[in-house]
Amino acid sequence: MRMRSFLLWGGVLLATTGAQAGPTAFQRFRGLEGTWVAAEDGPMAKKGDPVARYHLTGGGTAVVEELFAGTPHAMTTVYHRDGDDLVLTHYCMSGNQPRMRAKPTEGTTVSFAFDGGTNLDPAKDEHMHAATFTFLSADEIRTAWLEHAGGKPKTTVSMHLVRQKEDKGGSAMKYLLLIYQDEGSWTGLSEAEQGKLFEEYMTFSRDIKKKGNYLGGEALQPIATATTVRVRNGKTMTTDGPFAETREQLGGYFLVEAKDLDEAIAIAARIPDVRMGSIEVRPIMPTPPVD
Amino acid sequence: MPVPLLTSLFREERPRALATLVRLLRDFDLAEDVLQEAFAVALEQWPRQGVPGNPASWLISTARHKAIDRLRRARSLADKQAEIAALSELASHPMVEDVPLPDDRLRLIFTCCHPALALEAQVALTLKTLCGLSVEEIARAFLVPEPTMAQRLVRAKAKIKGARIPYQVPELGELAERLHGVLRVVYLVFTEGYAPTTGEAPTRPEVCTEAIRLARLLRTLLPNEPEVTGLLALVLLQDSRRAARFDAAGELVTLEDQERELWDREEIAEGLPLVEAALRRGSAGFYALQAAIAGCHARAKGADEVDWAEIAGLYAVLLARHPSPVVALNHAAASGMAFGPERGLALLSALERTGELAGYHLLAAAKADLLRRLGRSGEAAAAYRDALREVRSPVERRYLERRLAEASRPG
Repeated sequence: MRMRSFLLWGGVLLATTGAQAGPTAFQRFRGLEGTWVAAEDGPMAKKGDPVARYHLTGGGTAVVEELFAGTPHAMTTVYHRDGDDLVLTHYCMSGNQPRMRAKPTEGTTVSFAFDGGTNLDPAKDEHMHAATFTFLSADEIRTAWLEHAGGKPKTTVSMHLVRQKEDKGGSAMKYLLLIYQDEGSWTGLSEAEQGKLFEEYMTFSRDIKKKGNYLGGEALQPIATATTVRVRNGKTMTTDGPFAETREQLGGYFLVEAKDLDEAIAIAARIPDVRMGSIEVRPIMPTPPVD
Repeated sequence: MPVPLLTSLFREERPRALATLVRLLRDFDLAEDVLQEAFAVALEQWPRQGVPGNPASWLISTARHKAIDRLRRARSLADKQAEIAALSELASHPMVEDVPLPDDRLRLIFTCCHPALALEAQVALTLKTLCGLSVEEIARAFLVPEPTMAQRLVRAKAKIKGARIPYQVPELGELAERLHGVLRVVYLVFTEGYAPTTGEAPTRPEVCTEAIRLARLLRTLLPNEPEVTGLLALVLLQDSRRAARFDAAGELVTLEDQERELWDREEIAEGLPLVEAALRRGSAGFYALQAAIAGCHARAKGADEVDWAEIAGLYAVLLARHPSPVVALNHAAASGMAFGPERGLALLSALERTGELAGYHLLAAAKADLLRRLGRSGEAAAAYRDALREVRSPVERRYLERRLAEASRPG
């Protein structure tokens, strides 16, 4: 329970940090240059799949976004300045090209509203009508596109993207960091201590996300909720538990990407529970290519 | 060149060539296999065509070509992909890079002594790759069956590959801690030879020799690390007493009664300046302090000229910086020699009360020795009997029995 809430709260806080005077909207878009992958599983892409690629054109005056490049769903959007405004033209797979405009903002969210287009009648045709970009960090964004049909909102397509981890020379390895802890130790902490531990988990998650090591992580419900399943002679047998003799139970995990075991160990050594419990570092078996 | 000479040349060149091949191929097993094939080619060519100017480079080049051939023959798709990556990697290294770099062996040491490997695996892997010992030799040195040792090595290499233990010298921030692990492995090899924990032989000189070789290699590669210097000094000075530690009948002779003419003067001459060098640089470390203590014995012309006050002082520093019950025991014994047996006995009973050395025969033996010096024969005999209940090594048992007999003699 405990780590799940850490991770979720961490996400919320990430979304609200950075709301201060800073770069202009166009500077933020220019900063997107590079490849972005899905941060979570979704209808369009599985977590880790490359989704978007951004590059600059026109001497850095326009940003080209390519979504799902190389697939039948490939789409392109071009962002550029128009005075103080930011405008986009979206080359949609539905065959029309809506234009949208965003008013200047210093916030982390840029909202585009419909501003005409080609090959579409906004009162009738299906088309993209509005879009928002939320810049969570230099390496994490959320986007939402509102689709109109018959002049009314129809659906929203949301994407949560993170910057693809840079190749540190040689392919990265995946490691599962299994967190073993005494379930009783949490309840033994004072509220202030719990709060401090939570802060540490948040800082840790944020940091490994920023460094591009983070692939996933969850906390598990207490061992009392566990069921063990076996199939013997075709019969499914379930038992309550396990109720292992050991004091430390599997309480959660992080899935990380690292260049070698040393980096994975260094990450594991920073998981807050490493000081009370222990972390098992297991390399993930590389998936063999399918013939 | 006759074959036996070639074989010894291979033994010299092997660790160097292997270290570079592991770097180039990033695969222990492949590197070992192709190096073996290169040896076979050399065995055939060198007697006819002469030994190349740089044998290690020749072996690396030949082995590398064997690796490329082998990767080309790889069949499965997975292997093909690995092959393409490895081939392009190999192709990007021009032949001039077949020269072994000193750093390669350093990288290899740190990989073999990686803390993620079990200590016994670190030891085995180090002896195999850096000393070039065969599996059979390592198995014999540690008195485990050969298949057990082979299995240990296979598992260690599989972990290096599977978990991707890096092949690199740790960065400065981690170097001290990782180096400590490497030194521990070398020292463990030495003590296993100096006072084997298993088997009947009271010492295994050949194991000590390998440890000294490793310590020398480390000192060549890391000349500015005081603890490396300290370790080399320590193993040299300890080993210098090898011939005097047992008499003609194979019985244990304690330091006090050793014939100092039997001590190896060359090892002492090499070791003593190293002690000075290790102590000069920074604060004296774990090995440098122990080497300094060994140096006190080495410098004394006779047993009665040993500077026990200095030794007790060094043990006090060691105890403060690296506290352990065994260091405390040595400190107590040295204090007894320096400041009178009563002082030693007081420290020993304090140590006894902690219970940390319960069942350790040397605690009772040290106590017995101090009581003997005080002429308290009855109490000494009782302590010798306590020690005899716990002792494992046959030579130590016989020594204690002799002492007990003396203490029990009326007189």
